[in-house]
Amino acid sequence: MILASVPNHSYRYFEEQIEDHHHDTSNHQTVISHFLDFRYNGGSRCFFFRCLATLSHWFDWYGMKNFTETELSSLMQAAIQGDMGKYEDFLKKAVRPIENQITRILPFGIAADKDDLVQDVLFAIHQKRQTWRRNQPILPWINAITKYRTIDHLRRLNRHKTTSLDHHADQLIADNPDPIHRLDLVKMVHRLNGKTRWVLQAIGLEGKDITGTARALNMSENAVRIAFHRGLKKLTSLHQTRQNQSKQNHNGHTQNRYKGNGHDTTE
Amino acid sequence: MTQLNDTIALLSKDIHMPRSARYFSRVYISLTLFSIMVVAGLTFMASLYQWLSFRPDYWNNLIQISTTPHVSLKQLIPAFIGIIILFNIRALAYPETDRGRWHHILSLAPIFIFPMLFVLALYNMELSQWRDVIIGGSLARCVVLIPSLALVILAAQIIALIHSAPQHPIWLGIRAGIIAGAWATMIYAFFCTEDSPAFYGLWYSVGIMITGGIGALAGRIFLRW
Repeated sequence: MILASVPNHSYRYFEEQIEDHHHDTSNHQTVISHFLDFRYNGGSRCFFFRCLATLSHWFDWYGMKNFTETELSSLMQAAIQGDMGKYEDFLKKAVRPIENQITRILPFGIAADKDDLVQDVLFAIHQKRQTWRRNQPILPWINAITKYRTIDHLRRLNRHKTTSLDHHADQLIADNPDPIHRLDLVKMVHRLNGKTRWVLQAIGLEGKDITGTARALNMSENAVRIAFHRGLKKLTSLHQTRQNQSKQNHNGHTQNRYKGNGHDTTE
Repeated sequence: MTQLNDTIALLSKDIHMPRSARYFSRVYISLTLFSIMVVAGLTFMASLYQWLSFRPDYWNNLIQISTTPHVSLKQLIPAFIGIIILFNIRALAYPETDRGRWHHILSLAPIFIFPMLFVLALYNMELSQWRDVIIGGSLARCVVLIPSLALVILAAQIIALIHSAPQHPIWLGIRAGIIAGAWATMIYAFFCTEDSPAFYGLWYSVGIMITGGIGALAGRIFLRW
């Protein structure tokens, strides 16, 4: 089957097939399966075309899943040997399965938080990378971490929930959503103190390596690594605190609009 | 997407890979065994200083005691609980292991052996005897000492499990607590002179469950990620 970069339209039929079989989706569909989808969604109830579409999706799924699993697994194996470039590739390629898993779990309408959630999951994958067993497939491991973080995110949302209609209305009207909602690495790094900040600034923002940073800051390489680990942990907790704050700010903004007898005071 | 790329670039610079999953599983086993030995050593030293008194019949007549069912069960059942629940704990430390609530509840079934013994013992006694047998002579010591001794074993397990990524940290904490309680009970039984299943069937299980509760709290605080 020829692979073609086709934008991933949310075909309900395609997504239902994927959900039923717990596949990992990809943004690529074959030209033929795209055509068959169109035929099916175009209203054709022809049994022949439905069978062809199903078979096509199965082949797509099987090929894509195996390709992704093998690729990610080999990248992670190489990263364990110390290849920084491969680890970066692994993280980039892991974004797609993470997004697909989030799409399966998150209810419709929370897509605005998706980027933050993906970053959250990447942090979690980085922190818990030692829990991947090399003789086990990597996609279930990534999906499990994504599921855990997504459910955590939903629990946080539940704790700070408002009426859903008001929330959606605010999101639609607001031109500039709460700026704290955006992850700003530079500001967060500047909130740290001491050696942790210097190390994160040197490695994360200025692009130096461990050796160069150690030389510049007159520290040992081990001390730089330890400070870097600690800095990443603090960044993760800062990021989560900001997410909680942004949720509270949205709720405060929503509640303040409706005072007294319930009329919208902004008009 | 730019922010995502920045985050990925930052994370990829921290290429220092931690040790493998197998290493941490060995750390868990080693720490747990070491803490059990520490607790056994502490109680032995306490008996030397007369803070706890070792059962004299264990020194004098070990073979006869070990063949007496209602005495030997005081050690065999907690050891059995500690081993059975230990088997599954390793799998639960990995994120891809996701068990349902009923699986967790049923896998803790061994802790109900003690309550069953309690019920059977009461069934075979007259009603007038129940109160004296249940209260016994060392109720407070039993309920306080078992969780106290178990805290050391629980702490060691939590330190080892901090590197794990469980889907259900609270259930993992409960298992760690019950394992700690079971082994602490086994050690405590060397100093406990109450041999009626109506006593130890109830209060040993209370001690183990208290430790399970502390484990749940520890799991919620320390094992979340």
